[in-house]
Amino acid sequence: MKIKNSQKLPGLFIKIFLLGGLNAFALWSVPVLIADGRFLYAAYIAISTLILDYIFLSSKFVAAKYIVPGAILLVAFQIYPAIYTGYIAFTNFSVGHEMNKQSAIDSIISNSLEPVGDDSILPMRLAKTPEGSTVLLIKESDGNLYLGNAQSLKKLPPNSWSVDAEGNIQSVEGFTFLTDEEIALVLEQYSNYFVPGLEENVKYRVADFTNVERITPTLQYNSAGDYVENLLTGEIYKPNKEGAFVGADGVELEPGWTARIGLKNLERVIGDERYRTPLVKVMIWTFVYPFLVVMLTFFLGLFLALTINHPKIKPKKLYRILLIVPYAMPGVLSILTWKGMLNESYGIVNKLLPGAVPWLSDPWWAKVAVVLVQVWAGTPYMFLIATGAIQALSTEIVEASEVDGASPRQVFWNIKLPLVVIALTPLLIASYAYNFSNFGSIYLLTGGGPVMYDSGGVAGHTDILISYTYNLAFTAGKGRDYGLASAVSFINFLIVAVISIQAFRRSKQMENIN
Amino acid sequence: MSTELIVRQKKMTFQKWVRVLAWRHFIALLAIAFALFPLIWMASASFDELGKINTQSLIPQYPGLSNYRALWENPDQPYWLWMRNSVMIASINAVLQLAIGATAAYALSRFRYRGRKTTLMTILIVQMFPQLLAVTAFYVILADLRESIPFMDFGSPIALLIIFAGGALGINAWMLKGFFDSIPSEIDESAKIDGASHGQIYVRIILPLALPMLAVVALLSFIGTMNEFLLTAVILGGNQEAITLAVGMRQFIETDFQENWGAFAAGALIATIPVMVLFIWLQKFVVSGLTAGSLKG
Amino acid sequence: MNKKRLGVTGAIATAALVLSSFVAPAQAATKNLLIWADSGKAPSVRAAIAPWAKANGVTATVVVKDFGTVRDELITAGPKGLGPDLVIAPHDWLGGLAASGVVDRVSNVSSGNYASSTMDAITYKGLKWGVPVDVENVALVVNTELAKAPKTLDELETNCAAAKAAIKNFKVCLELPKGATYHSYPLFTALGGYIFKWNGKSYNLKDILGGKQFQANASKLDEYYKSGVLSKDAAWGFAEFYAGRAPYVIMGPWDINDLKKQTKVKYSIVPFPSGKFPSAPFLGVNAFYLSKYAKNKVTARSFLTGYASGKEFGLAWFKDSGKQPANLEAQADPAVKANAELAGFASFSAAAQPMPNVPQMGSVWGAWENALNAVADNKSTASAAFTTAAATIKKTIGS
Repeated sequence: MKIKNSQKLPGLFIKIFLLGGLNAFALWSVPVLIADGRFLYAAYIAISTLILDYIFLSSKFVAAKYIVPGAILLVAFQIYPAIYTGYIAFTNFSVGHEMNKQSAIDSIISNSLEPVGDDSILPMRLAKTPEGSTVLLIKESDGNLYLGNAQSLKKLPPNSWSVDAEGNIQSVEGFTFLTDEEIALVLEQYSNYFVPGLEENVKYRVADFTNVERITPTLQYNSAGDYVENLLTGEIYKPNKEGAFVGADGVELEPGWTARIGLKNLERVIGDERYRTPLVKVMIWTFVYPFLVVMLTFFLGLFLALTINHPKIKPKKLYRILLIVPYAMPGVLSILTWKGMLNESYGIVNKLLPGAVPWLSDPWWAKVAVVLVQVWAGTPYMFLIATGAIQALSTEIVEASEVDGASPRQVFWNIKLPLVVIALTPLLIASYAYNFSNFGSIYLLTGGGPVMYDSGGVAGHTDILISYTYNLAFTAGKGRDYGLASAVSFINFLIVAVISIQAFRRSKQMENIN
Repeated sequence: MSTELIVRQKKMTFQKWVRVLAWRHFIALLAIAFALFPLIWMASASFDELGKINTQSLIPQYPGLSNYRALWENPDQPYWLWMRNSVMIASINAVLQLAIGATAAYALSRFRYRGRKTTLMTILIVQMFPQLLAVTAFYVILADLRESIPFMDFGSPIALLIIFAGGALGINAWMLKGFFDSIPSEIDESAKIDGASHGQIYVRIILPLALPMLAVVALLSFIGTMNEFLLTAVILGGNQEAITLAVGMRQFIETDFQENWGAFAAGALIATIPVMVLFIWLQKFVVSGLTAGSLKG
Repeated sequence: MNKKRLGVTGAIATAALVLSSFVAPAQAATKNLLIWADSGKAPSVRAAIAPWAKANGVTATVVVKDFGTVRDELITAGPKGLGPDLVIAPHDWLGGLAASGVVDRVSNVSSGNYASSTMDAITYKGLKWGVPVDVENVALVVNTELAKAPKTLDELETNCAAAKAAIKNFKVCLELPKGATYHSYPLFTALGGYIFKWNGKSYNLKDILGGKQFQANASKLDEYYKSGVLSKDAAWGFAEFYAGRAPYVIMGPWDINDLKKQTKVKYSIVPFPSGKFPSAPFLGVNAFYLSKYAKNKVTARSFLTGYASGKEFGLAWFKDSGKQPANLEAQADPAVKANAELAGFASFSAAAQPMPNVPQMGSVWGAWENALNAVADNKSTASAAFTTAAATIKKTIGS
């Protein structure tokens, strides 16, 4: 390197500062993460830090210095979530199957707790023993006062305590009641606290500040046999492969747990006739809709950019500001406003047009409507990037060709336009992919409708794959079925990815990469 | 366009004005009318005290400012705090996106190394994963990390920014790479001969030349963050003081049967102001990028 | 350079240590209670809980949650220890919450405090799960200058025919938004409809959307769209009613503020008329649910059984929210009874049926709405549309 050291100093300083900070973070967080048992995260941070140290302290890996920092974040926060979602697709993660098996068992047992007797609510005081440990003093309905903790229950001598007129415990020999302040400190420990009762399987649970409730579980888990038994009827509930305990009569206990169910979700997507029948129509629209939107927004945006990007257009800035307003509005609001504006007989759009256009109820017009609204919302984006592109390339390439004697028209068609299109191709592909699964643009405007009645009423004429499957996955069975939704979105993802790669291979951008 | 071109066009006949400029103004005004058309209805709803989104009369039936007053007066929905959060998070995020994205884009555009094609493909394909479901994964990540690393917690804007940074090597990097590609490589070749390091070429030559595109990318990611809802709601949602406008304003309409569209419309209209201000400010850079481009030759 | 870095490391590590010492929360010696509510209910929860919290030395924190996402958050956040102690939510969420195992039962609330339909609403699979806070149902709102309150469905039809002839720019008589499921329930039941057949104890998930009973009268719906009783262009916002051109509209107590704000329409709130079958609105019950993962269960249970189920809370709730308290004693209080609008809606509440709280309701709304849309758009007869919808629901529940 021939450059004087003084010129490199700020860079060096920044490098030391950032690397130092990173290493400090790693040195602090990795031991903490290991101590907390989070080895995957610890390993990721440790390995990332080592890689970055190695790259930046060596002079060999020039390109890596620029890319690896971003790539590490990309893997952690984009690729890992995608893989995680892929994993969900192989489970039955859905309403009623969100927890692991142990939590499900705990939940089933605690839901089965039933009050014992009509007088199940009993007065209670929290008190300190002479040794200083906290216990519960419970006045049973048999007239005795008991001392209880999580392990045992013991009757206190009848003459050692007294109650007031309302039956509340007033004083107990040898015990001091906890003050309000002390109660506040320990109260949280009693959230899931049980005192053994007088009979087998009967327990006391703290019901409120001054009472316990006498309860008994009606279900019991047998860990040796891995089944749940109803203590009243003796019925046995055995675990099935789909994460639930099922009785002989087919009744499932709630909640169940998340179970790996292999390819069942995929089978449901492909094997279910409700998916298959309207699938062809939905698929076609899923491809056509983003194509129309991208083409229309791109050419409109480019056309506007070219039109306004003329040196003699004076309020250029103002034009540009006003044109990007739709892009700056939250989509929820603007799409719903459009929905109102497109109402068949009250809507302003039809008031301005000569005929009554059935915007949202006719299959074809509804398609026009979703495209129209998305063109409204998406053109500013294309306008912006096209403006940027045009300005970035109006340098010496254009000048050179002008010097070569090309007419402005030739310059535009043969030089400018191809260059802009090449520069923007990846963005067009990305925009296609975005609109391919642009859930909100469909869901908020038409909800997928109007419904295809011949298909059993599940799919609509403007449904794209993601809105269609959302309706299915989030309304099926007991409600939200993330497993099914993940499977569908993964299929969706695979289709977009394959198409994009193909489109991309064909585009001129690829020549650039090679 | 070169300076000579502008000089040549200075004297213009009326006929030429019509041929060259009139239609441009006409198209621009037409497009603006289309763009602003729905806004008139939103504005109308924002001034109507019965504010219903599909009240179809242009003139509010019960005109009043109560929807705007609600933005100040409801301590449960601190609109202006949310506005501050939004602007802060969106600004910092725009800077981070630029820093990470442009740096990677420089390498992708200028260096030829093994695995470059794979990197480009990966970046593009990861973009296509529908975020609708990936939020569950973010939830799990944060729930795991929060006990060990204090700032990676729900309600922490830092956690949100770090997660957003994971997406910096995405479409923004692609966009910038495309523009870096259009800057002739002879320029950095000659700088290299003069003894400049790759870092100096990047900071002193490429970045200034790419200013227009940097401005566009900054603006796009600013707007994107201002309107991002899904991820922000999951990560900041629990902290009413930390959420952004996009998340907070949903509370106007996402309550049980009591949609307050009037306040939502009022809030949304005001929320476009920061975007407009940023846009006006960045326009200068877009234009100065032009000038820098012509000086360079 | 290595030394330098060590220095930086040390400095940052020290800073981190110092900072982390601030992060540890100070032990507060008070009882705590954390409640989640959506933005519409949070202020009222705060106001109504205040006297109890003060009397019992409890620091009650009410956190505003997005109504659309609070359910998912409860399911994901609860097991991670990030959830609340209590959540206030409409009762139709109960089935899903209970099926997911994230709420605890509250068995020791006296049923005598509430109407039996209210208790039904918070009963799932035979067990009681929450503490009711307020009750609401829709009713018919009549523009008294345009039409009389109808006693029967036939009378409503006659009045509508008269209104159609008399009103300038008439578009619709009963302004029921297209595809409105919940709001159309009184009309649906008057024609013999139901969601799932109620056998007195639980729902028969196989007998859906009115069955034969509704089919016999379904053609009435088709007629209504032809004769102008209903219109496919009716939309949310009730623009025609507020403009004084539609005599009837079905509204809920949440519309009271808007009704009072407007000045054009003189109105009265009455029960929707019965047809061949008695008309019934859905009963909606907002209730407190106890999170299974609550950190302060004792405090939460004390609040629920000792205060939230009582008259005092009901009155405090009414005072702040203006809603009909669920507690019967509070309902009987003169202050509550004096509210004309609430009384109007309450006049229809005796007939109300609790909205089914089974988690399978998710598959009902969409199919039901599709059927209503099909009828409105004249794409299908009501009979065919509801048959299709019932078949769709049956399939969806089965999967």
